[in-house]
Parts: sequence; C-alpha cells; structure tokens
Amino acid sequence: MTEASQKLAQLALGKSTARYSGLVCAGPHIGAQFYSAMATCNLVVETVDDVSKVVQSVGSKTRLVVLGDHIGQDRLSDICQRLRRLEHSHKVAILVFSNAFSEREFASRQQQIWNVDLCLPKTTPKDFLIEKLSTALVDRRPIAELGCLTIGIANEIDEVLSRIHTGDYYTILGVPATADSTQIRALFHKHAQVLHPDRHRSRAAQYGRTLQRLAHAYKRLSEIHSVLTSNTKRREYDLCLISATSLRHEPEKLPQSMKLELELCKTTDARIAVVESLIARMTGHWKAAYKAMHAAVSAEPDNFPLRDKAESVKKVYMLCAASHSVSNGNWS
Amino acid sequence: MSANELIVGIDLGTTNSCIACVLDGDVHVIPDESDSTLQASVVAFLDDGSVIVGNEAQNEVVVDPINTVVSAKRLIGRSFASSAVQRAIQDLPYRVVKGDALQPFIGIRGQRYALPEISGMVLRRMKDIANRYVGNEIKSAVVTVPANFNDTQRQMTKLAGELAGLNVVRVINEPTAAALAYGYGHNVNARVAIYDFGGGTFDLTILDIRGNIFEVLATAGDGHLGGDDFDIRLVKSLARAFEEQHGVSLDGDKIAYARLNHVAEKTKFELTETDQAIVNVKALASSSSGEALDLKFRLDRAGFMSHCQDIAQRTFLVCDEALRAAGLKASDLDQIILVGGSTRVPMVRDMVSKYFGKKPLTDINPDEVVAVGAAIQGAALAEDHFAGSPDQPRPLLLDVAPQSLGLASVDDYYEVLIEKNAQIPCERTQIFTTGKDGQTAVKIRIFQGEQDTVSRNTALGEIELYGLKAAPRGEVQIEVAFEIDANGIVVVRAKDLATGLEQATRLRVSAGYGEDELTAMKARYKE
Repeated sequence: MTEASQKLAQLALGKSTARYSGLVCAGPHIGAQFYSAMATCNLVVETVDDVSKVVQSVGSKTRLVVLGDHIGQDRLSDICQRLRRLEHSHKVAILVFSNAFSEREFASRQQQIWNVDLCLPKTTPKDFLIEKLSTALVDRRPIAELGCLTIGIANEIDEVLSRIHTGDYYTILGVPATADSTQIRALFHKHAQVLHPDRHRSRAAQYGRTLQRLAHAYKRLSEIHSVLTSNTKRREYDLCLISATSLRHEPEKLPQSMKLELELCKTTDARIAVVESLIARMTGHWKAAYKAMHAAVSAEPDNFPLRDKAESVKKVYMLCAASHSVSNGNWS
Repeated sequence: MSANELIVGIDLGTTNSCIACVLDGDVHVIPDESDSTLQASVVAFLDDGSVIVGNEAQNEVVVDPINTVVSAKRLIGRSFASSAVQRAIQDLPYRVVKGDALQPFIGIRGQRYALPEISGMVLRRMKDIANRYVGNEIKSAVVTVPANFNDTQRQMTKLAGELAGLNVVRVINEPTAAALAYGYGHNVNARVAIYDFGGGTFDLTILDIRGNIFEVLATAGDGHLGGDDFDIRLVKSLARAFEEQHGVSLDGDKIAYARLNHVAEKTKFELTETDQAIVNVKALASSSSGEALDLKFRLDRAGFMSHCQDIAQRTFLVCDEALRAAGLKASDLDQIILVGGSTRVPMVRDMVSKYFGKKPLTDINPDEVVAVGAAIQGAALAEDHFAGSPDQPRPLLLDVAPQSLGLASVDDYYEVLIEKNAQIPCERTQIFTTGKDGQTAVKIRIFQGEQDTVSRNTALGEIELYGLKAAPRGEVQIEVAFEIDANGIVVVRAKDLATGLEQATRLRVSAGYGEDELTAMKARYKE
C-alpha cells in the first residue's frame, strides 16, 4: 500500500491525521484524482456547491480554496478579492482549476487581478498536483513561486490538435494557400519552438498524458511541413485539395456515378458523410472513406442501397489493408 | 528531472573519443589526468587479466595487437555477415567471432565480448575523466554517432552507454553536433555543409541554420570510407616496398602489419605538415636465416596524393547525393565546415575547395567540435543552463532519418514507410489484418535501406502482433504506428482498431542480443 492510498484509507475510516481543510468549489469537473491528491497532502476536503457561500465557509483551519472556471471570470476575481480581505487570508492558498486561460493570460492575472496562487489545467497529473500542493501547504511555501507553465502549452496543443482533425494542411499550419516554402518553413519553425518534445523533456513528469498528445501534434505538423515544402508532394496535395473543394461546393459538377451515390441519401447528414467519403476515395484514403460511409449508414440505417454502397467501400478498404498481411506470409 | 542535472556530450569516435560539458554557460572540453582532451578508443586486455582503456592502452596496439581492441565502432550493431564486418576482420588483428543471432563478438584470451561491452568500457573511461573534472558523478550523456548509423547501431551505442552507467538521453549525429558547435550563440543565418571525414566513415550533412534552429535538410554517407583507407593503402605499398627490398613477404605476419599500420598513420600525419617523409622501421621481420630486416622508404606528398586521390574523390559522390536530396547546388551553400581527422590532409582540403567553389572553414578544432556540439545539445535538453536568456534562446535541433524505413511486401518487395531525410521525430501508420480464419498473430518484418528488394537492405527485426482475437480473416484490424524518435531509433506501437486498445507487440532486433544475454551483460557491469 502506498503512502497516498494509506492516507486515503485513513480518511475514509474517519481517523484522519489532517489538521487543515481544503474548500472546494469547482463544479462537477474536479476529479477523484484531485481529491486523492488533497488527501495525500493531509487536507480534509469540504465542498461548497453554492458559489456565494465560498467566502463565508472559509474557517480558521482552511488552507486551500479551489475554484473552478464555471464561476465565471468576473465572479472569480470578486471572490478572490474578498478572500484576500479575510483576517486569516494570508494562510489561504487560492487555486483555480481551469483549462480556460493561456499561460500569459494567467501570469498577468495571477498577481494583479485575482491574487491567485496557482492555476492548473484539469489535465494535471496527480503526482504533479501532490508535489505542488504539498510544497505549498506542508512546507508553507507560497505556490505562486513555483510557477505554472502547463496551461498555455496545453491550450496550444488543443488548438493545434483541433485544427489537425478538421482543416486542410494550410489551415492547420496557419498559412495562406499561396504561401511560399520560406513562409511555410518560418511558420513551422515558430510552432516547433513551442511544441517540439525536446522543449518539454525536463518537465515530462508534469505533463503526464499531455506529453503524448504534444508529441502527436508535433509529428503531424512536421509531416505537413514536409509535404508543403516538397515541390512534388505539394503539387499532388494541392490537386487533391482542389478536387475536394469542388466536390464540397459544386456537387452538380460531379461525374454521374458519384451523383447517383449522393442521390441515394435522404438526409443532409448522410449526404455530408458521403461527400467526405468520396473525397477520401479520391485521395486514396480508404480507411477514412469507409469510416465516412459508416457514418452515412448510421444516419440512415434503413437505407439498404446506401448500405450496399458502404459494404463495397469496406471491401476495397479491407483489400488495401489485407495486402500487407498476405505479403507478410509468416503465420503462427 | 532535477534542477542541476548535468548532461555531458561524448564523441565516441572510431579512433579517438572526446568529452565535453556546459558549466555555467561555458563549454568545457574535459582533459584527463595528463591534460589530454582526446582519448584513444582502445581497450587492451593484459595478460594479468586487467583491462586498460584510452591513451594508456595505445601502446598495446603495437605491442600486443591480438589482445587489443581498436576501431570497435566499425563493428558495433552490424551483422557478422555484412561486408563491413567481413572487411574489418581482414584489417583488424584481433579475433572476431560469430554469435547465435549473427552478432559479431570479440574473442580475447578465451573470453567473448560483445561490441557494446567494448564501447561501454571506452565510455566508462570518458565518464571517469568527467567525474574527476566536475567532482560529481555524471549520470546522463548525449552520445554522438555517424549520421548514417542505422537503428541497430544506434541502439547498441545506447546500450554501451547503459553498460557504462550512463543514461544516454539522446543519440545525435556527429555532423549535426558539429553544426551546433559552429553556429550556436553566433546568430548564424546560413546554409552550411558539414564535411565529416573521420577514421572509418564519411558523411555530408546539409543544414539550414536560422538563429537557434538547426534544421538538417539532407544527409548522405558512406560507412566504408574513411581515413583508415589512406592507412591501408599506405600499408600495402610499404609491405610491397619491403618485399621488393628484401624478398621477404609479410603476409600473415599480424604483428608486422600492426606496426606498419602504426607507421602509416604517423607518416600520413607527417605529410600534412611536410612535403616529404622518411619511413624507417627497425627489425620489421626476419630473413630465412634469422637476420633482422629493416624497412626504409621515402615518400613525398605528391606521391601520397596520387596514391590516395581516388579515395578522397569518392567523398564527392556522397556530396552529390546529399545536394540532390536537399534540392541544392554546391554554390547555394554559404559555408563548408570540415570535421574529422582526415580533413587535415591538405589534398582533401584542396579538393573540397574545388568542389564547393569556396574555401572551407578550418579554424575550428575538428577533434573536439563534435563533443562540444553534443555538450550544447545536452545542456539544451537539461534546460536549466540555457533557460531564460532572450538573446541566447535554447538551440533546437531538427534532424532527419538516416535511412529509409520499410516493410517486406509482396515478393520481398521493399515498401518504404518513412523516407530517408524525413524530419524526426516522425510517425507513419499502416493497417494490418489477418489472412486466415482464427489467426491470432501477425508478423511484420522491418528493414532499413534504399534498395528495391528487402534482401539488399538491412534487416532491423521482426514485429509480432500477438494475442489477437480469433475471428474470420480480415475482421481483426491492427493499426501499427512506426515511429523514428529523436534519437533516430525505431519505435513501434500497435492499436486494435475495433477496440481502440493497445495491441501487444514484440520487436526482435536482428544482430541484437537476447534477453538473457542482455541481463547478464548489465549485471556484469553494475560494478
């Protein structure tokens, strides 16, 4: 049994050795991880559901107040200011648990406006939480001194990843389609400065799973960069993009066979999915083509002609996938 | 992670090794007890059972060549069957034996040593030198390798570090390290070529340096071309001269050849300074009547040049390839940097100037520059040493995959997944499925190289996806992600598409060591 779980068990049995309490008003998003981190740090957790009661719930044994971003920014700064005016406020650490602020935003607000000690993203791994909380609470060192860098980066990763799954390469990288390779490289370098895994190696422990997402985002950007800076690859990609765009916006110009497939659809959802599938097929992405057809069928489960079409796409996709397995003839 | 983590940089060379570190923002090339910053990459096994490493072992190279390991880097991570190893066996006086998985071992005094063990001993020596200098135990290092080292060679180099009690946080390419040493902190904005002509390998790497970003555009190399080739050429002509003088053949006389090798190397050095050299070896062999025979030979620089020009010429084929891959002409480059001992040869310098149409940069120390670059990268990864200064932001290396990575496809056709010169870290995914009903395992063979058929590329190993759900053929679909990480090392992950769960994989490395062997090895060097 680890030390942390021992303490958790003690808490559960009511034999807690905790001397201080932590007041939590962070909504439903605060996870079990956070509670167990607080328990590990010898804090008895009290929860407050009503935001207006936070300030009056602070007692002489309160050492930590945790606030969530559901409170709203204006209210947040109001509560922080009122907490700071309390008599024993110098002993209370204020922690904002939120994904909503960038690193820079937070740094400027932390001291001047909110007077908050620490702001952590909700994805903060438990070990790092414990480290931060215990340094602040047990060693009585102000948390703000320890700094907090994860939010900004988490936001940037989220931003890049969200674009990666939607836009085309130019949108993802944030350059116009007319950009030359010098501009593309400059922008890629800008991203690399922030997102390259080497930049975060020494902080890996704080990141937890975020580190994998960061590496994923970086590798995608790097791949995009390699396509857009190679003349031949970029021309190929541009051709696909042009046909994909015309497919989306001028479906009447489609060849007859594709039109027929679209006419099978009765709902807009299915039609959009079929368009996506057609685009994917044009660029040879059979996995995406199959997935899109699957989505179309789930939109219209009783549309049997559409099902047949989806089935044939699936077959081609399987064939593509299977060519590898067959070629590697060593079966056990 | 710790606030004062010190990551040293080690240039583990074929002939010499060098270690450096960044202390308080300054790069220190670390000297040993006798103030030498270079250590011979030599491990000598003495008859009393003791082992000496580095410059003190240098003497044994001539005295006892059979029990002294030199140029271990020529063998590490290679298959016994490869032409490189076969050629090395011809040149090297010590015994190289074949392991179960075709790995080469070195046989000395009835013992078998794996190559990572030998390199590990050299690295431990380097570590001891640094420990003494810093006054603390060094735990982490960046170790450099030739740009054209493949996955197995990199993994074995990492293993050597581990055996030396070092956490190898990064394996970087020697030319890239050199570029870092050249450009870091000088606000360089230029396209540079690193002409790295070492003892055993030649690489040309083209980089675009933009302030603190060092982006490798392309790299090409020849793993069988180096300054040693000059020596071998010279040894051959010395042996021929001896035979002509005395009518006695030296064939099969390993000791005489080891001495000639030593002399040839010295003569080569001499000819970089002077126009003429006189070779004089006392009692090289004896005549049939037992009389000691000396070798006397006079050689001038022009003669040496005409002898070795074709070797140097071969480097430019590699340069052509690298320039083509980067989409550049020789005249597009702003600076040529010479690295490696062989670039001291005046003929090489002249030929480089002619090829690139500009004088190469020669004022950096070719022996230390790689270790210096590795130390800078180490500090950049440790972060603290460079943090917070806006006029000198941390350097960022964007390096490339040394060789294409691919799979065996139909009829042993080689299907490339990650192209050579793709920026790393990078990742490509591929979907695999079962070909038979109820099949629960799939094997994938992976290779590295640029040839069309798998048999002509280097086999890296086999990945086995096992514990698949028994289902009709084609139903189970596994997505396999092949990654080349920032070390240039291959990482494989697999995911079951239906469940989204990680799929169990096993990667068996060719020319690698079994689990038992590895455990035994690690136990032996745990002090």
